[in-house]
Amino acid sequence: MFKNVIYAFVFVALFASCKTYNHIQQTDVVYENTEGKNYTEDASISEFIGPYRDEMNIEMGVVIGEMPETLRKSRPNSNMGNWFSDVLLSEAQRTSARAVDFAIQNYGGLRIPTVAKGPLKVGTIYELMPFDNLLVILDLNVNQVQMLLDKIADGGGWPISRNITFTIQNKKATNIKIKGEALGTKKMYRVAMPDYIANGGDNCDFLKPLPQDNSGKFIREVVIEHLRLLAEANKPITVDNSKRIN
Amino acid sequence: MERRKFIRNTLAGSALLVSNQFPLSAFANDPNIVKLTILHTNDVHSRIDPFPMDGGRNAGLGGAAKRAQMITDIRAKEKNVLLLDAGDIFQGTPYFNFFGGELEIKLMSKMGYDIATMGNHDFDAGIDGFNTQLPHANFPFVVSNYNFDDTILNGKIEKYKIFEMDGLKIGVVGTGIELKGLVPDTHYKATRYLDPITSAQHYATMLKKEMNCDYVICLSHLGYKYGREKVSDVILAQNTQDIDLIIGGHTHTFMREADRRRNKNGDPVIVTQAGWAGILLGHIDVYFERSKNKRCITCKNQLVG
Repeated sequence: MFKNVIYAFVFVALFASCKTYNHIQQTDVVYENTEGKNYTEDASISEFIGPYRDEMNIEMGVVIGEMPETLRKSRPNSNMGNWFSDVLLSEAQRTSARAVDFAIQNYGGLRIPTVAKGPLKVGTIYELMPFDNLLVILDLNVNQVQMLLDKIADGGGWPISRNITFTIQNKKATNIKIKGEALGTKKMYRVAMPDYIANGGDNCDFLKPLPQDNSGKFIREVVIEHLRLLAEANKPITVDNSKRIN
Repeated sequence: MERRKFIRNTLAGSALLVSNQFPLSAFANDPNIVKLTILHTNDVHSRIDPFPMDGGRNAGLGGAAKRAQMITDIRAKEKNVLLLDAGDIFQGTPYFNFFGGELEIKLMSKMGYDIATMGNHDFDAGIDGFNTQLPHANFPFVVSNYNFDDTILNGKIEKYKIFEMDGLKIGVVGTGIELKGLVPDTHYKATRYLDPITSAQHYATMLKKEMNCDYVICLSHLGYKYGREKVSDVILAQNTQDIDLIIGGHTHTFMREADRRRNKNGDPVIVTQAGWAGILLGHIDVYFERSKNKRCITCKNQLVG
């Protein structure tokens, strides 16, 4: 009898306690950073990273040139975009049997906001363009060039090489000049670009069916090769600051 | 320099905000108040080391070893901590090109990440490359709107996950961005993209209504918001119910403060994101009133302004 009373008591207590509500009462949101807080590094994590960093730096820590000015990424124009797309054009021209008119690079493909003035490491080129994108050349007709440039205009402007300028009007490309001549002066244009775009990336589906003159080289390797050749010839890196998209 | 100033202002601003709110110290010893601390990163992009001290705008910021120490310090102070990542763990430094993401995942395991979602760049070594690194993760990945049935990831990615701590039941769902046009189809292979709003809603409601979760978090790689119709965290927030918090990524958005919205029922939902590259660690403290009452006694309006 006494036992039953205890059971009953326990049962009631359990029943009463099982219905509990957790009401969201207040939410505070902050964004923390390590700057100025004298945060130490977690030693075990640093130690764990060490061997990976050492292995990587054998190749990535090598200085391959001297950047004459700090490169900054911005839309529609930037010295970073000019330099990068100019290198793509130079290398496409150097390695292709047929002339290349201009080069483009999708804006999202450049991954760091700045490249510092001064010694340039191989690793920085990897950070700038880390993707396994290949450099390809496409033969585009006038209509396809217009579509590609409209896509670039709609995206707020991507890096484009020397030899081409245009104006963005209502998210379309107008006043297009290629080697100083209006688009349509000739029928076909040879355009260097990452295979990511040629394969339809960034919604460039219209390029997908076109045959590719494929260098078979990753874009970052193309840029590194360009820098090596400059260094061997004792030539400086040059950066053009002209405004190509208006 | 601009970014630095902004980060500093953000911190000063947040400190002010907190101090103006309910006197939190009063809660500290209240047995009826349960505190949940949510830490989050997004778009860390293989940024293992801090940005180099080269005068660039992010010089010296970020780095896994410092972040690990921050997390350890917070864990020492707080009882209930969840550590989350909203995707794009991979790609951005040669660490990824050299080691295929192994170091990124191993470090997250060591730091005690509880769960992560997948970003588009987590397919950059192909779905097979991601699968290769998956065994290094001692935490689950969650995506509710990718169907992996016909891929190598079949059965390896969760649709949702429940964490129970201190009498709290916390549900987590994940949403991934549309891969077509963004990721080469040779990389994502037979992964099928499903509508993120429908998928997130389905699992959020299940977690809240059937599994009695007290709190539902959506880890999202959709992007904060866009100028156009494209589905985003803000659109997800406004068109769903049963989600309390959306932790986002993809757009690398630095926010001065969390975006406090109303969902389609008029209930509060918070949208947040912590920049990129591990420059910031998002820190959210949620206070719950534990009571026998169906109505909350001490709750304040969640919306500010």
